[in-house]
Amino acid sequence: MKKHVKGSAVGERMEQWLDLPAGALTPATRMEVSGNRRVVIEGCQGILEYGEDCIRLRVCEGVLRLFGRELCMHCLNPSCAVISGKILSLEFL
Amino acid sequence: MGQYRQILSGSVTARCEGGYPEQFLSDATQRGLVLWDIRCDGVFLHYSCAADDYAKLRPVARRACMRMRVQNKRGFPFWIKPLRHRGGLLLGILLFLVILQSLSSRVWVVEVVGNKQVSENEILQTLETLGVGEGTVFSTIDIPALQLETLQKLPWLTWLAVNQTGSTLTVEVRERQPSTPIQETAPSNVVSTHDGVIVNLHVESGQAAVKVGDAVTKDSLLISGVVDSKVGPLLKRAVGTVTARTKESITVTVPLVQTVTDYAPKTVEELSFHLLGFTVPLYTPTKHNGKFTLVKKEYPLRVYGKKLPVGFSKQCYVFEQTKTVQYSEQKALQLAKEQLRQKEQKQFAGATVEKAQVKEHRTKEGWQLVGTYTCVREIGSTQRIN
Repeated sequence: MKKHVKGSAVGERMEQWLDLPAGALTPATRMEVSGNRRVVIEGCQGILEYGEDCIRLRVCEGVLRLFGRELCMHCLNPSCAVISGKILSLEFL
Repeated sequence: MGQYRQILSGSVTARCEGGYPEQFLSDATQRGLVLWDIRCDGVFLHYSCAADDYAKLRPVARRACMRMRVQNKRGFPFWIKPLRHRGGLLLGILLFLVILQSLSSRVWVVEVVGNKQVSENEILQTLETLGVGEGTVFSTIDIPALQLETLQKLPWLTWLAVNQTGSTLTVEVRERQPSTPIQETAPSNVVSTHDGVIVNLHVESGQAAVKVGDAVTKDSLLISGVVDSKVGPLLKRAVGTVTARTKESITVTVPLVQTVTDYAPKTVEELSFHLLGFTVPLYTPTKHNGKFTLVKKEYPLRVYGKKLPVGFSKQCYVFEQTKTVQYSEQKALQLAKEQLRQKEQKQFAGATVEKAQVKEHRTKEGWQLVGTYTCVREIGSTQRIN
């Protein structure tokens, strides 16, 4: 774990030094948010909680919590999750 | 694209209840299974997956202590599932596809457009000799070579294009314009076609060799194309009209007993079925003896006026028979008079008959009529000077 943190720290430094976008050399969750209706999350590592009002996902940064109403997972595959509904908040825990 | 893939590979909409939906979803993604339309409805978790993945989800659901139930099945694999044990239907579909492929690659109709003088039949027969007709496979037709060879075989055509539209082969042609006849200017004489006495002479060009009242025989020179001049003889084309009084005769003999060839009342009809150039006889082949006339009739199937390469044809054998006919005296004489009248009409077309005398003779065989005529007719005929 320590090694991983160390590695990611080096990656972050390299990104800064080479002026690369964040996540180019380090593992990072990518999210594409379309208003409050749809979120595409790349790098989802598992589902911790699934409900109509709350979905918690395990991502490389930790846990991502989505609050909303009538939440629905449009597509779920090993690399990406597409969540739609009325999204109220997105939180990293 | 995704929708078509779902239809082709089939998809299942299912419902899970109890247990841990989060674990179920996480395990499913970890195993590389794709889910969509995941919706939580109270204690139920609704989702859709590929038909092949449904069985793989069972152990995942068991581990998450959930029970799966299929709600809906869609896609091609589920449509054909009830037909799996009906081999005949599958064979029929396969056969249909094979026939469709086979027929769509062949010529169904050959249309000829733009012809007036050269008949459609002649063009189609020429194409047949070059190996193009109903039932020919399109890929075997070398269109540029076909166009060239057809033009060579039909000199009356100046341009020909072969176009393929679906299963129809359209042959567009342009015909040669008939050239205006060039007036003959070669030196020639006018000679007589009959024996007779000249009654009228009109010379337009050339030099008259006879005068009115002269008696001439057949092939006598009437107007000469060789004209004398100061510089010597000149060769010209003799033109003029020469009318003469001629004496002609016609003889007609009608025997009382005659052998006549007639069609027998018995005919043999043979029906055949045609499909794309192939002929299937619908009769037992037999050898026909004796003299007969063969009449062929075709009954192609037509749709909106277009001839299809499917239909029937009928060959009708009409047998000839010879029979002896005995005429009465009166009937034989009547027939002889009729024949004489027909010959007169044919022989004296364009001539004026001044005097006619017909003598009837009763011979051993039958009746003989001898007609003697005095008529006035044009006897001039152009003959080239060699």
